[in-house]
Amino acid sequence: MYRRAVRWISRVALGVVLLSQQSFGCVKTLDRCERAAPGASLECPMPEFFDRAFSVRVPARWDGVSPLPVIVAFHGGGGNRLSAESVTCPHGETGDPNCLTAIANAAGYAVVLPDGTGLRPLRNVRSWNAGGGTGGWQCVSRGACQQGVDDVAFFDQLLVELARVVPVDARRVFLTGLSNGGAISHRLACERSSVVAAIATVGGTNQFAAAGGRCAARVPVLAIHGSDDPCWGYETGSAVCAFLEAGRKVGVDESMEGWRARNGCSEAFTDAPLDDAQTDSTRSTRRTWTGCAAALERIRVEGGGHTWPGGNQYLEASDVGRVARDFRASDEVVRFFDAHPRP
Amino acid sequence: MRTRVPERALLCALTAGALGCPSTALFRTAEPVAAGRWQLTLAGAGGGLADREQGASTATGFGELGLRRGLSDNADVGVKLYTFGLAANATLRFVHRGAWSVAIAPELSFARTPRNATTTNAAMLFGVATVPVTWRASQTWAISFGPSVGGGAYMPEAGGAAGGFWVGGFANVEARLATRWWLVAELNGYNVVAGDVPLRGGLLTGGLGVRFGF
Repeated sequence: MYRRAVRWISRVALGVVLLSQQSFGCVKTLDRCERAAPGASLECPMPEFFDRAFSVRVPARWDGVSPLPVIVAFHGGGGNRLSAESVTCPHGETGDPNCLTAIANAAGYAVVLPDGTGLRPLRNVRSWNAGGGTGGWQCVSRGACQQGVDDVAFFDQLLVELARVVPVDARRVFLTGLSNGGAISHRLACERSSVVAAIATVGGTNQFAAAGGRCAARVPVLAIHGSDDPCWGYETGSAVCAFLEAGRKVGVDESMEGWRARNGCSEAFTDAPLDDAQTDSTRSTRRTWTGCAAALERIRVEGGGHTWPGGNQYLEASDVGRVARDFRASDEVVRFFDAHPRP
Repeated sequence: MRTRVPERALLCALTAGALGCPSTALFRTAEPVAAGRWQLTLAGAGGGLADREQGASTATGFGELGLRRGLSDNADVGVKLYTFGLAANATLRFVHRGAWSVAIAPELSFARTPRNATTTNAAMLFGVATVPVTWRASQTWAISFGPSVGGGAYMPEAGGAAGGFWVGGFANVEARLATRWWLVAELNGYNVVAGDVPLRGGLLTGGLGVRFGF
C-alpha cells in the first residue's frame, strides 16, 4: 500500500521537477546584450541585482560607433520597465511614434528603461527608493523605500551594464520618469550630479531632499506637474493613490525652491502659456527662472492629473486625473535635454 | 486623498498574483479517500498577506480544483490545479484509533507566471508537508487541524533564484451534506521563517470547499 503510494508520488514529483526544469529553460527570454546594432530593442539582465532587468531602445539612425546620449526613463511606483514606456504613449501602445522612446530615438537618444524592486509576492509591481520615511515624509515608494534598497548603487551598475551595450556619451546622461520615477530622478540628481546632465520629471518631486537627504547638486531641472494630481499633490500634503501610505509628499513649489537655491537662480522668473490647442480641459504654463547657473523650468498643467501629458490615460480620469493633450511631455523632455548637456 | 480604482486594480492584481504563492490549503481530513474511489474538490479562499520588510499588507485570494483517488484504507493521491499552479499530493494515514486519524500530507507544486503588469516571467516550485489530525465527531461532522512546514523557490527570467521556508498550520470543519457531498470550511496560515519566498512575512486565509465523491 505505502509502496504504491510512494511510487506514485515519486513519479509525480519527477514529472514536476522535469516540467519545472524544462519551463525554467523557457523562462530565460532576456537578450545577451552585447554590443547593440542601430535600431536594436534589447531586454538585458542586471546580473548583480536579483530579478531586475532593463530595456534598451537604440536609435535607428546611429552610426553604430559614436557615443550615444542616453535617457534613462524610470517607471512609477507599482509599474515596471514596460509601463515606463507605455505610460508615455497616447493609448498605452508601445511602438506608437508618439511614445517617449520613439520621440527620443528620433532625436538620437538611446532610451533605457530599468526595473525597480519588485513587491513580494507580486514581483513585477515595482518601485524605487526615492527617499522619505523620516520626519513625517512619506517613504516613496513603498517596497523599495521601506526595504531600504540602494537604488543609487543600482544606477551606478546600470551605467556599467549599459556601456557594454552601447557607447555612452558621458556628457549627456539624462533622467526622466513619472511619479516615483520622477522622484528617483531627483534623488539621483542629488546623489550623482557628477554623472547626471539634467533631469525632467513628471508628477514627482524631490522627496529625498525634503526628507533631509544631502543634496548640494547643481543640475538642470524641468518639472512637469498637474494642478489636480490626486496621487502626488501639487501642494505639499498626504496624497496617495494605489498604496495607503502615511506621511507627506513634498509639493512642487517647495521642491523647486530647493533647486532654485542650489542652481543659483534669482527669485525672478518668466511665465509663458503653452498653446491651448486641444479641448482637453487643461491649460499649461511654463515658468523659467532667470539668472541660473543651471537651468530651472516648471510646467504647471492646470487641470492635469497624475499623468504624462500626451501619454496614456492608464486609469480613469476620476481617479488619477486627466491627461493633458495640448502638448507632449516627451517633446518637452527631449527639448530640455537637447539644451543641457554637461559642460 | 484616496482613490478607488487604483485600489481595486491593486486588489485584482494581488488576487491574480496569488499565483506567486504556494497553495497550502488542504480542504480535506486525515482520512484518505476510500480505496478505489474518486473525489473531486472545488474550493476558494481569501485573506491577507503581509511582507514585514517591505511594509506591504494586502488582500489575496485563490481558487483550486482537485481530484483524488483512494489507493488503500490508509493512502490516497491527488492532483490539483490552483490559480495558477499545478500540485500533486498524497494523504498517508499512520494513526487510526477510534474517531482519531493522523496522517502526513505531502504536496509538491509548480507555478509558472507570465510577464505582465503584476508578475514576472518566472517559475516557482513549492513543497509542503502537513500533518492533519482529524477527530470524527459523527458521520456528519469532522474537525481537523495540524501543523505544516514548507519551502519554495522562485526562479525569474532575470536570472538567479530566491528561496524561503515557512511554518504554519490549518484547521477545518467538514460537514457531510449528502451521501456523496461534503462541505469544508478552513482556516490556513503560515509565516516565512527563512528567506523571502513567497514573501518575507506571513499569510492568513479562510475558505470554503465542496467535495464530491464517486
